[in-house]
Amino acid sequence: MPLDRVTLYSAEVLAHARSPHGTAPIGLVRQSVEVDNPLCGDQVRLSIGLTQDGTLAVSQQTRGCALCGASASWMAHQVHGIPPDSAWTQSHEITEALSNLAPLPLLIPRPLHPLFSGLHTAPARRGCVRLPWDALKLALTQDGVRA
Amino acid sequence: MTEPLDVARLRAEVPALSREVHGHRVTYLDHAATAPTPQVVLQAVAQAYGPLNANVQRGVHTMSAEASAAYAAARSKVARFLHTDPVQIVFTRGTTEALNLAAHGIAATRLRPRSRVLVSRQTHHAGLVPWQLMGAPRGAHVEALPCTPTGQLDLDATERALRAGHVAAVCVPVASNVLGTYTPVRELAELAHDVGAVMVADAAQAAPHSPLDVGALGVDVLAFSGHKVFGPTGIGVLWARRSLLEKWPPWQGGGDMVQRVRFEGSTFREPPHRFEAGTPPIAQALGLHAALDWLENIGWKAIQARERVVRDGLWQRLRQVPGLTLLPGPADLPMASFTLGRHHPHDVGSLLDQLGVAVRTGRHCADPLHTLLGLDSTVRASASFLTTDAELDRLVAGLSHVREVLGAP
Repeated sequence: MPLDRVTLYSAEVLAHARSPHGTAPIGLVRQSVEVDNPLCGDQVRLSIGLTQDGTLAVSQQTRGCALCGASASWMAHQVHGIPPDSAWTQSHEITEALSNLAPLPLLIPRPLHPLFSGLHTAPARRGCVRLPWDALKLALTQDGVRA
Repeated sequence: MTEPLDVARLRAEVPALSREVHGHRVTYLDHAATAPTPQVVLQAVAQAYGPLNANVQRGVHTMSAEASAAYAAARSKVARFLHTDPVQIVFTRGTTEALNLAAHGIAATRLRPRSRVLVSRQTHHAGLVPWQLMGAPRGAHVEALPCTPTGQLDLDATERALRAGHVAAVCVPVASNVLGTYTPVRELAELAHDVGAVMVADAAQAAPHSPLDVGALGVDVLAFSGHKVFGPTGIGVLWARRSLLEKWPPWQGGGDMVQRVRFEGSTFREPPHRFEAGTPPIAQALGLHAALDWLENIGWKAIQARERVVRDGLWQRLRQVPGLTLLPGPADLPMASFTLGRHHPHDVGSLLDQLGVAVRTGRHCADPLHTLLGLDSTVRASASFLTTDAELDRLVAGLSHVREVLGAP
């Protein structure tokens, strides 16, 4: 089987899905959001806060497919401890690139490369990977990081 | 004795079934979403954009007259399929638009404050949301028809719900797009009529498997889609009793649906033209005509006999898959919806796709039924008379592949 089809469910993706990062509660929650995928009912609950040095703290609880779960885990791993503005930029880049209106073939945004390079073989699943990042962008926007 | 179908010969007439997906011959098990288009339909559509390329019902030249005749012939063909007459056939973009038109007409003529519209929990969203949109501004309520825990209609409780009063309309699918089971439409229509309600039937899933007799079904309104009966996308059919169509106001304005147009106001043509504003789906209508001819020439009895074999083969195979749970059935149609243990249906669907097996995953535009069954989403394998035993075997082999990648369910 060609590699690009295997990588959609690579060992790394499955490891993130089975043992997700960022599920522990955080201290002072500034925003909590909940987003759903209307196609399948998958759900991401995300809370964000700030550490003492002003970087981002996140806690995610995801009920969904392997790609959604892995994406939520990867997101938590990627953005925990970075400035909120940088996290917003990442979330914006990813949600735009994986928008349902984005042209095909999909261009997988750089922050997703290590894990989701196989996503271009299954573009119908972009919404699964995007959902946690939709949650992050919504939480950061509600917190006033960007309008 | 019905002559068995030459499935291989028929499959050769359907180009999509010979393509490859990810290096594998496609195993197409998503007929309930859209049926693959036979060559005769492609030719009919090409004809519409070739020698018959003209607008209809408004030109005096020969090409327009020929196109108009072909368009009228398509309407007559659909009327024969439904055992009715052409004046009660309105062409729409699909079942969804047909049901929206029906809700619009019924709302305008029958929905009042406290009116009730009863809808099956098995409904596709297209059989529910239009009533919510039309009902809310008029103070009407949309309620679920009583059903069993497995989603089947509870006729005794339904009779009581109907007799509680103020029921303006009842809307059900003739067959569920998730369970593949038939609704007892005839019995329900009698109950609905006893309380003066209009009986609306969504036949999108039923139409590909049998010609429909609107008189025998006892319904007042019925809708189906072209692309699910091996015709083109972009065309659907609304049938409604003439007495209803004549009362319904127009829902879209434009050319061809008017008699006289003045700035002071306009007057409108008789049905069905009143409901077909603008240039209609001409090529799609010709394609639908060709699709219904194709099915008729194959023979409905032979189609139904083959589909029973396919359905039984599908269910028999899926029952033996470890960790697989079938939704309540058995289905009347050649389809099955299921879950595979803890594995998410989208993951199952994507891994099947890697092997060229096309199934539908998600909620299938049937949230209320999934909610009733306590499920977020499911996998649906929907076949047809074109499905082979080898394809059903590939589905099962694909489910083994899912277990290899994701682990035991």
